[in-house]
Amino acid sequence: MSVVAGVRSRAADGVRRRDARTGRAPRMAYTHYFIESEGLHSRIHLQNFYSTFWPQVREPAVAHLVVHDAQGKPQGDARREIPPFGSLFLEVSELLAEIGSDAAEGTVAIDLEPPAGVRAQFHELPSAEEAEVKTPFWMAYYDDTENYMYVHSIDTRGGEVFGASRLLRWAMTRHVGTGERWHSWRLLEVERLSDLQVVCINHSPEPRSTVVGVYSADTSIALYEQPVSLAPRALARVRVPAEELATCRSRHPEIPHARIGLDPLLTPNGKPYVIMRYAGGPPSLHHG
Amino acid sequence: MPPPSVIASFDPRFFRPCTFPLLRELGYGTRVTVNNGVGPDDPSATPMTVSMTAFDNAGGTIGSTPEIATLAPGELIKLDIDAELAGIPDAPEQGDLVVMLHVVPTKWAAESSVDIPAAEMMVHARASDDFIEYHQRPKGVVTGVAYQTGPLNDPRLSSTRSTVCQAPKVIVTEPVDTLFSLMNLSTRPDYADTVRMDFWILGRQGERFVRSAVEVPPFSFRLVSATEVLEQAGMLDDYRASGGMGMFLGLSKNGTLVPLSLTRNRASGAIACDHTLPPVFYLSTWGGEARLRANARLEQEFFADLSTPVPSPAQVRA
Repeated sequence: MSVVAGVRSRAADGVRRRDARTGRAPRMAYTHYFIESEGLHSRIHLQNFYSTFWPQVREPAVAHLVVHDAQGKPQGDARREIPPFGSLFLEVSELLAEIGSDAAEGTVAIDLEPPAGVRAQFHELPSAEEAEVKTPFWMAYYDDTENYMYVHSIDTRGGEVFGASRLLRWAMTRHVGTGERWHSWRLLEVERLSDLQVVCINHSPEPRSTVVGVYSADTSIALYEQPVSLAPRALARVRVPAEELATCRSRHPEIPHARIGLDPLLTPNGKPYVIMRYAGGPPSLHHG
Repeated sequence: MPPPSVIASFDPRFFRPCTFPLLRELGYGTRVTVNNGVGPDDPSATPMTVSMTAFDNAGGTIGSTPEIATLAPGELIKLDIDAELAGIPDAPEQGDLVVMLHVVPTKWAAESSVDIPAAEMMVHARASDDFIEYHQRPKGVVTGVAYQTGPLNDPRLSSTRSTVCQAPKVIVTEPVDTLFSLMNLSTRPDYADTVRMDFWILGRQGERFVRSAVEVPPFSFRLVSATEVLEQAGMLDDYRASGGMGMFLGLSKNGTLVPLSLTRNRASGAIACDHTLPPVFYLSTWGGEARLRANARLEQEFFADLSTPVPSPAQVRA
């Protein structure tokens, strides 16, 4: 690093440290997939996590929710107050009704805005020049007989930062990176798979493409691949056709296990959601 | 104080462990996809050998298997843990166990004590993301969770040990119970500390429904049933009437516990399994003195009487 660049970097760190300690640390929203079809429902679970760090603050935090449909089209936004140590349990169907959306699937992003009393405590943030505040939350998926599945937040909403100065927001959002070629560390049993769907999400504000695939454990054999192009904030639920699963079994009896892959991940941690079913069992929806 | 660059006299079986509870008492079998996640292009890449140790639920070692598999850099394998237990003659057919898979560089496979570069250990820990899968035949129920069990409860690698658990996932309805699995693990074979977690179940407005505590012996786990805890406190009907959803808020002052939540439909056997998120997922640089001060505030707010023992669920039942 040159002397000039070093001076600039230290100056930028100083500004960012001062901003964060005076309550303007940059905040990122996490985004989750929702589905209100295929017999599945979705519910947001988010706690006022600021309370755990600063229990002495008695003000509520405000959750800002933004909804997109599967094509990435904005559906509307909403807000909810969450009291200290309280939690938001919000049916996505209720949220969709509130904003007048009939989307059967899409995404919800949430930024939990801290109250003034919490922002006044940000002077405590260690390494404030690097500090980021994020709003991870859980999505519960369930069917009509209360069979539950959970997924924790996977990736943030790219291209948007809250709470920080305009200059820092610009610097942090001018480029949303892509990820690398990725293969899941979970092996699926090919013989018992009766349904396999991969949900990939473009968390970025620009169009992106990837290849969704199912591979042998050593990734040397592609059992199924499908190219996908996605609009900004859009998602694709790729269902591996049942006949393809049957073909995998007959053509590759030597392959007992398969793994999901994306080439590339659409954003740095943009791993997919996986919906699968073994034999006649209930569906399993999990982090890919 | 940062950990030393080399950990002397380290038992290599704990270099890259993959540890998980068996849920046999709830009727589930266990399969695990374990990996050698450091690929061939990485300077730390090495072939690894896999073996397994089972612990009873008092934390005692039942026995270990010989080598189960070897993994080339980047390779992964799926193991049927219930079948592999046959390799441990003294393993009981019933009862909850903790199982640790030892993923060990082959160069150390025959060693009982080695000097380990801490950075290399962390490279392998970060690359691991083993998938623990629970299943129930014949219904076809399958669920799972991916997580890393890196260095834990080891003063050679961390000077402070505590756990804050915040999980807004306590669903308690007529067919559904939520259980919290709390594992007490270490990267030291002579680890002998029982860790206590005090916890509250809070309602959606932050209201306090019930307070309890659980003690977890080393190398074991305990399941805390939210339904049982609420029922013992006479709060089950009130909790359900308020919507049946809330948050588990736990604090351990004397050790690290690995928390997993299990939301289970008792009729169908379907079960949602997920880990909680540590504080750095919310505040990216959290730690050190700030974390200790926050824990002290949380203790003052919710657990100010920690010097007075609170009955555990088992003691309440007795």
